[in-house]
Amino acid sequence: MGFVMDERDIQLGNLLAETLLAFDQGRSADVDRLLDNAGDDRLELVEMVELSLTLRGPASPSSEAIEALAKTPAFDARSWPEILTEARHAQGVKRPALVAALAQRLGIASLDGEERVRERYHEIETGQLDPRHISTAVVDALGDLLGGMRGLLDATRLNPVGPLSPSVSFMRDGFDDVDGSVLVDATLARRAEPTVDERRVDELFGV
Amino acid sequence: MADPSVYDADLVRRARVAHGAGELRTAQSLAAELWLRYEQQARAISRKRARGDEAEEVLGHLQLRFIKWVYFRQDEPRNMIGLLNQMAAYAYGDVQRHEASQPVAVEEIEDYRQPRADRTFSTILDRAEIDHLMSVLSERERLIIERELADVPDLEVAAELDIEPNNLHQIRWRALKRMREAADQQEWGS
Repeated sequence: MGFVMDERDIQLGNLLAETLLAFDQGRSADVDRLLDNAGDDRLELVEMVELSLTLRGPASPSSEAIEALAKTPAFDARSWPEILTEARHAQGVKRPALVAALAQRLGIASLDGEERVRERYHEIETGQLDPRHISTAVVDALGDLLGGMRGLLDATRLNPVGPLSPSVSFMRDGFDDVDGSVLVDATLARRAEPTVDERRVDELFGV
Repeated sequence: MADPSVYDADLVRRARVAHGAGELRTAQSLAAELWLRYEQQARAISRKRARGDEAEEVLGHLQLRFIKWVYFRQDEPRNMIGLLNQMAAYAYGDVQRHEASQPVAVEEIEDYRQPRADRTFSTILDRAEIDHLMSVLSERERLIIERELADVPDLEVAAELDIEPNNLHQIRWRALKRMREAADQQEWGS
């Protein structure tokens, strides 16, 4: 029994040494293969790797590595209203055109459905709708329509949108929105029961 | 050896101040530095939750949660390894929800305060505690761990101790197991 345990400890000790080397050299596929080679002891091996890395202490990254990583979407600290507005302006796209394209991408063809898409998008861009609840279908569609920014939108959807500005509060109550079209007062316009497409849009936007 | 948690705390504090002042590039750089300090540990921690490609997805969600914690939370920075372990449990849930095309679970984003029942090395808070764990080792085991921390190649350490590399790996494995057991006892006893 003692011999068997010795053999196993040697195997796991060797696997640990090889796994740490693969970690250091950034060979992720080898790391996974080596961990799997531990069989039933995989979790224990991972914990030993973790302990070894913990004992080493934190790394000292180079300034080049820091700056390169800081520019990736995950580190973008802007809110969705800022990101969407800037991207739309950079592309020279008016909001009605974007909304029409978005409705088409989402398969919403009815007038009431399109109107609801316009309302919901307006709420996103003005910080009234929390992007965290929005479906991946809407995130993907917006990302594509605004020029390959799916990753950025997905990475920043947890960023808080912040308090509403006074201008947004006005818009919410039915004042002209930034593109000049008039938002209809919600209390007057909305029917008691939403239509099928309105319900579908609400679901897609996490409302 | 200097306590890294002091440096970490300073990075977090400066990142939050910069973010609050609208100096987003500075905040991003500080958060990136903090992440890179612990990226290797985060890779290992992700592999406690999943395997292969799924582990990489957990790592991605773990990174997102970590960055949001730096920017938007108010609580004091603490042991990063313990924090990453807690976040990894939620990040695994993120991956599962993402695969099911469900939105993120907002209510879980904020809560990293409650200790989880999972075994972690969250007791290893600073160098003093690591030194304490080293005290459970024999002289030879301690030397092997110290040489590893000093980045001395295994072949050189084996030659120094006049043993085979296999034996060196076995002794190191057992030494780490004893340290982990001591850490567990410390954690559950505290």
